[in-house]
Amino acid sequence: MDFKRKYSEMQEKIKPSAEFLERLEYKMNVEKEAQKLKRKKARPLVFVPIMGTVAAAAAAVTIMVNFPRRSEPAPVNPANVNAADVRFPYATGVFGNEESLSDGDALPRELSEMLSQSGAALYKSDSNTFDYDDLVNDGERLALAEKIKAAEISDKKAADGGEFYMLTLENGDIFKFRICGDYLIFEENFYKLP
Amino acid sequence: MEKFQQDLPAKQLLEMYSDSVFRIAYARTQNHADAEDITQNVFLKYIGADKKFSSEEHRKAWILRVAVNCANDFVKSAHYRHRADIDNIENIEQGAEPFYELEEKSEVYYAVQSLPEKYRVPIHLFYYEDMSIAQIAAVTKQKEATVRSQLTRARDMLREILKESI
Repeated sequence: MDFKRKYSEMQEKIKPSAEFLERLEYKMNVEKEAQKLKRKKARPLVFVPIMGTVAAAAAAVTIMVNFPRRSEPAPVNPANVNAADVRFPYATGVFGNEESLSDGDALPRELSEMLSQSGAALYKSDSNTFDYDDLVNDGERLALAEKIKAAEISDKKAADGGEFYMLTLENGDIFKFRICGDYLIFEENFYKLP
Repeated sequence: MEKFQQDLPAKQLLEMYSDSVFRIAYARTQNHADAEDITQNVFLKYIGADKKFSSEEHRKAWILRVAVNCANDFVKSAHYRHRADIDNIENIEQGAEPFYELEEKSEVYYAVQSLPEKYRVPIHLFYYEDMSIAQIAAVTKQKEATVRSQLTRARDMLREILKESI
């Protein structure tokens, strides 16, 4: 009997589905884009003094122009999020029914309901290690769901990595998340308005 | 000689390696959904690692090693063990077929799936990926003597099951 031939023939029938490969290709491209963004953020030190000078001058001009008239907080630009502001590094939630999310004012409430479900899983890292060490405990998850319930979507932007949202909580805390395929990804940008 | 391309588009990478990764994962888990989860994890790790390779063989060896590691981590996880117990109980109760539905299941399929988990991957790498014992040892991070012994035992078992020479 030719075991090798029969085994090889059997293996040829074992394949991932085309739909799965399509989704995976999309996720890989999203991750690749995210990597590029991360690399762009890490600028060489030689530019820091120049950028610092430019930023200080720009800030001075902004203050001189806006300070006497402005009473409301400045709109938050996701690009300005500082790593030092990271306080709540939730990363990935896999719920399986993100397609049912609406795109309007009801989104925070729907997110909250999803997070409150007994089977909801939320991880503290952006990759599933399969050992479940980074699973957020039920208390934290439910607390986050409660906070999100009364929040408002303060900004929204479509990009290659999916739909990005800024969510403003009642206490002024803001965090960014995105919906990408069947993943709900909380970016590491949870911070508070000054 | 074809020039080595360091950065491959995701589509091309999947065309080249997704079947191999999936089959290693499937050899270990015998479950289609689990094998897809592992496959996804391997390729997202690949993107995250942003590793530079010296050749296509180097890239393939890295990907297969990560596939073996991910499959090992998966079957060791509490989640998998717990679910595997439930599946077994349900399958025994319902008399259900616990494995992936192939159109035609050969005797070879049943023989290999009856092997202990730890023997299935070396058998797969040896017979399907045409790897040498040294290469399997490198991919599975085991000593060559261990791999040789696993292959010998697995082949003895297969010979016994199939009642023929391997």
